[in-house]
Amino acid sequence: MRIGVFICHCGTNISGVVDVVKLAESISHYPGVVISKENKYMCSDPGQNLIKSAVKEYNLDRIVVASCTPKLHENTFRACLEDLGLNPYMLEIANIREQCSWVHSDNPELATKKAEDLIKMAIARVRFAKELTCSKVTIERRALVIGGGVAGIQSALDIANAGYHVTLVERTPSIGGRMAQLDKTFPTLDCSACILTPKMVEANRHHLIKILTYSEVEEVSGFVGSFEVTIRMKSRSVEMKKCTGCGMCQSKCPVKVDSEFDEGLSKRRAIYMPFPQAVPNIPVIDRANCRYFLEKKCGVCKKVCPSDAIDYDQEDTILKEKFGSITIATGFDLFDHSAYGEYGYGKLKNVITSIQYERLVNSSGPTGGHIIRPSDGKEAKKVAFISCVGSRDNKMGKPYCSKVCCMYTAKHALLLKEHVPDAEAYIFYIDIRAAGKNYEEFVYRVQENYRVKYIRGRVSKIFEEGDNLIVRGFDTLSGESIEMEFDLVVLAVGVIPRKDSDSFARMLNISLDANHFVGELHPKLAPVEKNTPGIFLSGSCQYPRDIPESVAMAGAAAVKSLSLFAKEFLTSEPMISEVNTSICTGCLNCKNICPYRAINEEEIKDLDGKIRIVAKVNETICRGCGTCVASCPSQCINLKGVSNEQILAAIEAL
Amino acid sequence: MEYSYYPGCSLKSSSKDYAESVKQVSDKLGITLIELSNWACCGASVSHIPEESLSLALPALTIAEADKYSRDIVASCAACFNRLKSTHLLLGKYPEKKIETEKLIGKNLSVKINVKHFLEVLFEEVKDWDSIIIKKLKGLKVACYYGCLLTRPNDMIKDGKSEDPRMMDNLMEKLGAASIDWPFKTECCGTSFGLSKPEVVLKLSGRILRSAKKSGAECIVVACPLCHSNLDLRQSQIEKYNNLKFDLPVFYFPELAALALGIDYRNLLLDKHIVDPMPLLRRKDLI
Amino acid sequence: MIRNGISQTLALEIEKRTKINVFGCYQCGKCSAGCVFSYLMDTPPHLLMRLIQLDMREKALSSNTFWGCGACVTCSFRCPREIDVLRVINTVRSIAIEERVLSRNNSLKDVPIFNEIFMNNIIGNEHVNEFLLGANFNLKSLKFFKDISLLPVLYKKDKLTARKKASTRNIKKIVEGLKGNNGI
Repeated sequence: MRIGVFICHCGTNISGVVDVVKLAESISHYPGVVISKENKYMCSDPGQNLIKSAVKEYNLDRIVVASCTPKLHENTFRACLEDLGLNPYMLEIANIREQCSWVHSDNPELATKKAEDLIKMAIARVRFAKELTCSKVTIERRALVIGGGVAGIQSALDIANAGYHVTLVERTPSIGGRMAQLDKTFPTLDCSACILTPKMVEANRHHLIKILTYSEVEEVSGFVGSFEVTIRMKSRSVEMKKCTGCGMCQSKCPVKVDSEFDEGLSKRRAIYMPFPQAVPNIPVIDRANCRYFLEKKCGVCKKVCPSDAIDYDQEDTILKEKFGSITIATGFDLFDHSAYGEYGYGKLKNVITSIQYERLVNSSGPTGGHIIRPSDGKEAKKVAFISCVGSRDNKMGKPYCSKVCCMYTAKHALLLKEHVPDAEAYIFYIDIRAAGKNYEEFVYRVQENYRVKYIRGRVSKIFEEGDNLIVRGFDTLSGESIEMEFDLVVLAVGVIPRKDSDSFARMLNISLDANHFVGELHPKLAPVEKNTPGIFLSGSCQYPRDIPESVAMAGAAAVKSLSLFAKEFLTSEPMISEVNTSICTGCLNCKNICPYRAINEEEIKDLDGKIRIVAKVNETICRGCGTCVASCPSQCINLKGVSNEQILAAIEAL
Repeated sequence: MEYSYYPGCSLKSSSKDYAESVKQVSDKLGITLIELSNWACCGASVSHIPEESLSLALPALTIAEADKYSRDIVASCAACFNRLKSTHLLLGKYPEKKIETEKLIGKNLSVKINVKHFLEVLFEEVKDWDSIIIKKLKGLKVACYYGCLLTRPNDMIKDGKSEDPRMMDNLMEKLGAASIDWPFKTECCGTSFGLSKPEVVLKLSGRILRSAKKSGAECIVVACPLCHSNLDLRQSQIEKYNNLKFDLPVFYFPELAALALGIDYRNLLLDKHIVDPMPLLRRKDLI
Repeated sequence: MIRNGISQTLALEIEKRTKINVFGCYQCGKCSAGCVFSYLMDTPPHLLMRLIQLDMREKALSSNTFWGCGACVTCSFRCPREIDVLRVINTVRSIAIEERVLSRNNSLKDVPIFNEIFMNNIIGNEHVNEFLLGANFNLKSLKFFKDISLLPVLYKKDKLTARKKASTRNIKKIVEGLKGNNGI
């Protein structure tokens, strides 16, 4: 066993505190250490060359590098060994920067002593280092995208345009998502539907994209490169192959229920397409409200359908498919303002939400673009827009900024002035957050050209006086109390995670952040990846996102899938746990505790022919976290590269 | 059920009518209110008291007194109720404040007994009003006025909707009255500014009376002697100040409960009201 | 003009007394918007919070916010940052009283007079004697004829008599105990 120790100065980061020259000298006498050297920057080319020539010269078979955290340069030094034809895992790092020089700068002497101890422990560990190898895993080169809003559609298109199969699963009867509901988009005032529908059509036409609407992902197992996914295609009660989308059924259906697409501002039928440009252009029967399903009466749609497409007996279809990657693009829900007692507990008729206003102002919306108030259909001449309803509000459990409201509220006020030129628009805000290309300029325009009155102060109370609303606010800039009468109040309700995000996360076995959005792997450097390899994020499932950000994320997530698919095969992580089956008692504590669901049970035959159950680690799923090792009562699980004997040896070296 | 009763200062002087109606109703319903023998003023409002330790010590005196009997404390004045309950909550939340207060009053505090308003007691104790009501308050349109201290901070009376409380409204509806929906249920009446800066009360209580009138109320129902004094005693001043005519009788909620329970109105000291409620009650055939 | 940086002595004092961290306030103004008394104040609640954050002690202590406050709890109850604004206001008043800082605005001068009479009233009686409270207030505030028109009515309706003087003197003891500590 021939060990080399290489100690880094890290400029003066380490050597300014730790006496590295003395350290190199004393370590060189340590048993098993053949050579010990120091260098200004071990990670630099000269530093690496120093290691390489020492390995050759002294015929070393394993090395210790004493430097910064292994998170930064472990791979650098592994590659160094690989270049020399050695197994890259014959390496140990002693972290004498973060764990020593940085935190003990006040006591150089003891710091040097501690650095020596850390290096001794690393030497003890490297003695027991074993050569580790990666195994190869095949890749299913097909992507699953969950959620058919603009983020999901774009991600699907980007992957499919690169030549891979994509399945796009959407819960509602049509793709399009929130963007389909919007009127204009800020700051360009493009018609939202006009720029979205071409993408919807393109996705629908694409020969590599399979769109499953009215469908939900029910179960996911497996791992990167080979996820096994169960999808439930809810029965539409309409045969998709026969239906021509003529719309006869929905014009004759006698049942009327609140339209989800119009946010309750209009009625849809029990058999319906959510909006005219729906993709696919095929209706579904909402069985919970259909008279045929409730009372076994009616059947009008079946009678009037010219292509005999109605099928009341259709059943849900369960689809099981394999995918190499999964992109989550499940979008967001909106804050329910009935939590605000001071804003009327959601009971005031002429207080509406921002998304309802989008439908109201839309020329193909329920009022044909007339901004009228729900109570009496009168045109709204004086409208208050209130920001931060369910955002930046700890009392409501929503401490974060929903990010898009400042901009859409400015747009709403502008649209009011466009639709009703003599109307007055007031925006009650706390801060105007307009960080985006041409966003700030857009707000200027709304203030200067459209003369929308911005009032800096949160509204404390909204109440009815007759049909009108009284808004009690305060302009914190002038110190003036405000109590004004309005025809209509629009609440900029915050963006919140999908209400079923908890159960969704459990199904996918992924983590959520403190606000229950889907958490990313790294907030700066891996914003579209999950800690589970092969699962990527797009759009507002991660945090409130506007359209350009969602589209950019969609592309980024697609690239992550594509770089996966471009590989010939995947290599598995070698530092994973292994079970010593000869002493495993089959208690399966490890299976239950494993956060990656990487452990299963296996039947093995003993020498005497008896069958017994033991734990088996799936090498491709295991991430080497070590939780199972700690949980094993018979100590039969070991983590390769960080084995029990290595840890004990390190402790003994102290 | 038995409770320790904390009437508070006002019920002993300006609001003897309130005290009487509480007594009549609890007697009728078999609710035993045992007045604490050694109670002290709660301080009425934190804004009267120069420092927090004192504003906690005053209610703590009464809480300590009630501790002796380990019965829940009932107050019928909203301010008394709020001071007692707020103190109770704060001392429970901050142990060092409790120690400080105990030192100050020279007594130990258990912080275990509950503090309740008489409205809550009525609400909890009587499950079936229909069987005991003699005379339904049919056709009487009431505006239930809770004031600030019954519902704030959050859920002081366990109602669930502090911005639009329903407890008194539900009680009135059970008694057969029609409670109107109005937006000033929990707006402040101006509190003790009646003495130190009367215009405040004339303005704020004026808005309350205006809103109640506009919403179609024939009378106002309150649960606080100071609210009553501001809305009833000062109503003529308010009318003059705002150049409006209200003529809205102001009842304490137990007074209306008493009428519905068949208690003779002559036992109720209704003649202490400044805005004469008799014409309205006669009109509605309630007396 | 702020020249030499901003310290935080007042904020720390308030934090020590109440455990409230005033730096959580982002001046959204909801407290001032909901305050029915804000029109009386030279410094509405959100601005008082700002003065504390900027450690503008003189301005904060000589404001009349705490004399205009009716303690209706709306500010604390609706605060989106869950700050007990009312407790902050009361604490600033306590400090102002301790340090004998006078209000720079005279419009609410009768409120401290009322408070003092109220305190004396309950120290003397163990409970409030409303008649004495009103009478003494009129004397002290030189408003001899205030509410005089109400008097006959109050007398006739027996609203002036009060509970008999209590035998205990607990409130007096507490106040004397406090005076021994730091004086009020």
